[in-house]
Amino acid sequence: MVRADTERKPDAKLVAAMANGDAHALKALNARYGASLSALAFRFLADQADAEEVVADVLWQAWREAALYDPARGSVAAWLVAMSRSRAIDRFRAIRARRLAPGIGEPNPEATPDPADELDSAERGRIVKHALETLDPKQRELLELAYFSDLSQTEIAARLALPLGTVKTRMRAALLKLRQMLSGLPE
Amino acid sequence: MDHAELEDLLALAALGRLDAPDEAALEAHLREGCAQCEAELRALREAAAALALSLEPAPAEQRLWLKLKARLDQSLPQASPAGRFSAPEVGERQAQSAERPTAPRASRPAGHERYDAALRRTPRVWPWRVATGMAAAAALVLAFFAGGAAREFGRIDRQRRLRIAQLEKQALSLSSERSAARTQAVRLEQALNRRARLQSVLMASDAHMMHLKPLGPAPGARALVAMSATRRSAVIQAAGLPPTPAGKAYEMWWITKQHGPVPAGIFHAETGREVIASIDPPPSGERLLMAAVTLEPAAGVAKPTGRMYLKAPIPAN
Ligand SMILES: [Zn+2]
Repeated sequence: MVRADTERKPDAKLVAAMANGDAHALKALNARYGASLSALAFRFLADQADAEEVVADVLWQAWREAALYDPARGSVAAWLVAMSRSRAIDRFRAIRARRLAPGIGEPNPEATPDPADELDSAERGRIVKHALETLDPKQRELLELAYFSDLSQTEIAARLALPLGTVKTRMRAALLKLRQMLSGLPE
Repeated sequence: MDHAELEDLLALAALGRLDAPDEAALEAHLREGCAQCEAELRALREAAAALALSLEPAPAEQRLWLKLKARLDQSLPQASPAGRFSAPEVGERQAQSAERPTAPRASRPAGHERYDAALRRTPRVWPWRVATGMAAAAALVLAFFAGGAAREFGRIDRQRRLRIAQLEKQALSLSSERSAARTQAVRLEQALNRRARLQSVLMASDAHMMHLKPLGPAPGARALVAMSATRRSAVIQAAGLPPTPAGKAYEMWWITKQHGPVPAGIFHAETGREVIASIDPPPSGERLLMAAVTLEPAAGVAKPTGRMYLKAPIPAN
């Protein structure tokens, strides 16, 4: 009964419950985002164990800092994604510094969807994928290159053989378009 | 850099791809308070997050939960009794203060005692001094915070963060006492973050404060609720409530003209400790009649069933 109630709560309420020390809420947040965040971290690390370590660290940080989450500054999803991406990049750089790093930006290999995953996140993923498919392929490539790689803006411009100014303008147009297509997405 | 150039940085900023000089320029611009850029950046960050979450999920949920569960078990003062799993209320009732680990005292080195003593000396409950200085009858008050108060908060926060860092260092160096020190560090950090949240709500330009007054079951109890519509946040700070009985929780209510009691979240009280808990802000656009705290079953209920411990009537304005 308690569990069922927790699963239906909006993300922000889960985080508030975490701030008040409710471990069920942490479990529910993991059910909603753990799998997707692991896929994100995997894009950078190309190693499932490393990716999961990063996501466990992120969710643990969310547990410790739940009281600091500020809904006025953005969604819980954006908060978790930003932490995951930055931790994944840090770990990628640390690994690269130690030895030859695995490739990045490769397509996600054998990850298969888990039927136990929250319907919410599956539904969200489906909507976003559809939006990405309707995006101009060039815009999509640009976004993915910017987001799922460790390249700087200058390196992106160099790789695409475009002036930096053009990269910036196109990036903004692409992301604004994606945002517009997703504007109906539930929180 | 002109405004158009700055706007072009927003997408890269949302994607975390800005070079340092551009990042500094954009930050300076946002600090000057450009609401337009700030709103766009927020929207673009959401789009970037959606992009990130569009990947095929990895089947990691169960393994992740095992990792998190292990950390929770380590940071809980003692093993959670079956069916009672919520962190702060478990086991800490015997402790005198939040910051004291409940590992067996015999096994703890002398250093811990000094930490404990130092923690007990920490100035406590800053906002209460503000609260008690205000007329209790004025139930809905605009919060006012001078710069001095902000600096004082900052100083206390820095001291506490320093202690957390010390504790974490200690946790790493003392393998046998590792989990006790880690317990202490995590719990102290959580308490500190709740306080920081309260502080940030109090400092919001549209902050409101409300005093809740005690009723029969706990005549010595008192509470302050701070809320801010712009921060979409509310926090309750309470003291003098009896420790939460097993299987129960305190539940906060907004009582509105349209919907009667609306649940605003649950929290727990422990002996000799003040409580700081995040609660839902009042429903927007509804006429508030009253705020109240009742004692309810641990999971919370949709409408109040238990005794009322605190309440504040809200004057029409
Ligand atoms: Zn601007």
